[in-house]
Amino acid sequence: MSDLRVPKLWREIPQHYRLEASKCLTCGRIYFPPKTVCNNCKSKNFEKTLLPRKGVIETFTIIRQAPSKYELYVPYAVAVVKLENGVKVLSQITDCEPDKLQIGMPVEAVIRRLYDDGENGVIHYGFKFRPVF
Amino acid sequence: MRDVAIIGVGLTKVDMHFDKSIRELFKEAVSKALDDAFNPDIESAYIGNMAADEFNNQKNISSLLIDFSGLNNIPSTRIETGESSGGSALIAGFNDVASGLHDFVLVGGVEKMSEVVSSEAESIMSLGMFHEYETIHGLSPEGAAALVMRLYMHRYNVKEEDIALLAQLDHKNAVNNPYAQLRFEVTVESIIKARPLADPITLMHCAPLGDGAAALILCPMDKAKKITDNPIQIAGVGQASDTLGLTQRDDLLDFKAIRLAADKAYKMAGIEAKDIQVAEIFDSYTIYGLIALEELGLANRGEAAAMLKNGYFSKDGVKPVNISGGLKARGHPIGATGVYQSAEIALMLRGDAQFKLDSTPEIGLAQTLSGAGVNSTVQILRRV
Repeated sequence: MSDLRVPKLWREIPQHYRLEASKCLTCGRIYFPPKTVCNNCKSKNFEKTLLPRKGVIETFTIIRQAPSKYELYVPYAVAVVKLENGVKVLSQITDCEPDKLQIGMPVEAVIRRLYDDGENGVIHYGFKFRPVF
Repeated sequence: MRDVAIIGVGLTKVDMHFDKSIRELFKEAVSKALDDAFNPDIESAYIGNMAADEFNNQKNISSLLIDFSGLNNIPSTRIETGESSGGSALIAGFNDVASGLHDFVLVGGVEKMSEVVSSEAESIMSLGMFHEYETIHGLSPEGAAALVMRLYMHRYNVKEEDIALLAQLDHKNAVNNPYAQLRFEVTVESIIKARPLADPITLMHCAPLGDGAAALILCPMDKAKKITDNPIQIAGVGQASDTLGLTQRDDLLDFKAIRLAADKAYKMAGIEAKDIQVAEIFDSYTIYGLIALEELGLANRGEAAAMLKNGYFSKDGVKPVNISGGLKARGHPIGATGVYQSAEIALMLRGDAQFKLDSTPEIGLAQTLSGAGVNSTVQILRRV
């Protein structure tokens, strides 16, 4: 059974391709993934906003035993990236040897293939981050 | 609200039970609990189970399990809050008795994981994370724990070998627990040199896969006193949730759900953290156990490893933790684990031979957690 049906991916394209978040117009808090009710001030007044493409690695891991869909790709790096505006995103780190990663390392967003969902499934693209040199 | 007591406890050994179905395993725990409680007429049931849909191809599991336990036609509800399902089932049962709706209530927990190979189990466990924003990026449950562990080590300047002390303590305690899955001692070196799953987490920082079922019989305290000489009161319960996604929290190391659940439970029981004499904490990964000790108020922030090192939480220490062997060595049959923990605390407070401590404690705590700080329950039990 495929867990990536086309509408499910299609809905999330603004987030997965261009880091579209939502900003509360009352208190200014930014949510990624976007929310339409603010956990901070309960306001429902939101606007769309794009996240900055640059940030630093807050913490990271090298996945060596993966869920079945990702077994082909091990080892790969997954990190929490703290963006320039303080919003955090979870992402793979690409274009870098795993043993070179460090907390605090500057990174930037790029579009990459995330994975193929089997023979008949969609090919899923999305953001990854790479080191800025 | 009525006072609620535990009058029956039933446990099965956590293991790879290839020869038993989920029905048989659950029935075994229920029968033991019913015998222990002198076989009252059960009026309703709550069953913690995370993933029978995936592990056992079975939904509607609450009716199936109760039928095969010989209990006919009673209301039976499966409770699912990820890995904390067992704790949530206990709270549901507590609410049922405390409210006065039913007198004799069964709380069970069961998970039969050995039907699938470990990579499938990995995928099933991953269903507990935020699909579109975590799983899709290839994060695994131990990967999430590794993100937390690296940040913890960095912020508090704690070494991996000191975090590993909790796994070593668990294994040492499990040797004496007949229901534990891994009844052998391990060295710190064997933990940090084990196969890496998600750096810095090795296999030996993680709870094993296993099958198990646990059951408790609850009833109002006034009735309990007529049935048994050693009823254990559920003195306080608390549950709290947090964001499913790790990155949506201001601080990854702030496991607020545990803290809020504990605050509620302490308040209901009219006690403070310092009054807890014995605890079963939820160390699905060693790092989550350390953070739990801190969020429960049993250790200061960043200091749990140092306290482990000086023996504070050892069996002969000031506050023994995970006498059962914890999730690492008693085992972690997911939806059952929360029920195991409270059952074990109840047995310790009763002075049961299988969980004997030098001086029989009066107040104990059990804590569950799903994911990386997502949902938590805290149960406080008291000997009366």
